[in-house]
Amino acid sequence: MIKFIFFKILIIIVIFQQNLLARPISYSGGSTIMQKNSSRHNSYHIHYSPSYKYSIGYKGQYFRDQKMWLNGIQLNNLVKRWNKPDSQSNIYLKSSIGNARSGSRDDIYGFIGSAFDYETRRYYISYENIYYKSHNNLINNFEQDLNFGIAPYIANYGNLHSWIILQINHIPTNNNQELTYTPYLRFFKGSFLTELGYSSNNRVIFNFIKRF
Amino acid sequence: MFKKIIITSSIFCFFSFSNLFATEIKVKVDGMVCEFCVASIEKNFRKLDQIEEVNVDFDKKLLSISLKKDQQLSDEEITKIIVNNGYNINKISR
Repeated sequence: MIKFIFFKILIIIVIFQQNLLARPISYSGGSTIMQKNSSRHNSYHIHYSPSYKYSIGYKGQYFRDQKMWLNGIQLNNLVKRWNKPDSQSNIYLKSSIGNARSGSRDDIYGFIGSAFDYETRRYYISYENIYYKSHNNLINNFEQDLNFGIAPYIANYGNLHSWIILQINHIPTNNNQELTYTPYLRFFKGSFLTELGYSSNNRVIFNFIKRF
Repeated sequence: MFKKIIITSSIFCFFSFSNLFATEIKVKVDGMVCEFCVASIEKNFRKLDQIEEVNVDFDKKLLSISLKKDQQLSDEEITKIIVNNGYNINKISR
């Protein structure tokens, strides 16, 4: 019964949240391709933003420890943005629904999550949490990330921008409350962004984002 | 001597009057801290036929828009593009 209610709520959120909330993943009419390899999963995400307030797309995600693939439709929304002369901060909501597969087992999954970021030209901080749940409990994960970043130099428009960032990943549902630390470098110029790092669980981190 | 004065005056007048035809709009934008995000503003302005050049200065938080000769771009059009990209206008100077 609880599962049924959870999925009912999730489906309602996924279908209707674009009307309730907003999010600028990209600009109106813009598309983005993201490929990420974090300390726990690899993912591919392609999305389109009909407006700067939300985006819709496909996300494929592989959980290495659980040997599980998630393939689903993802919606991202901006709840609130603060534009100040020297900073910008945002609150986002994310949600997805799709198919989870582990070995020969299939299950319907969904996730909901929220994210916050604050950025100046020198400092960057972000927090994100996601709760994954599938109908037959193939996946039931909660995880959260905290990122602290500093730009070693202040670059002007058109130059290469570099950041040194520390990510702390926490999975409180694990018995051992595992924390993973990932120092990484972020570079971007124009519409290209790439990140390279190494995590405390001995994983090479490589992320790539391109906007169109 | 007279010839020199005429030539110098002509050059001075030419450059002075040519500035009258060039239209540059300065837009101070709040929230412009990330090039990866701001690139979309530049891209959207470049799509417009009346735009000659667009430049972003992060240090001054300024977007400079140069219009082609005899072209117009209203404050409303500028505001629409900036707001549709998720930013706020602080000031528009012409």
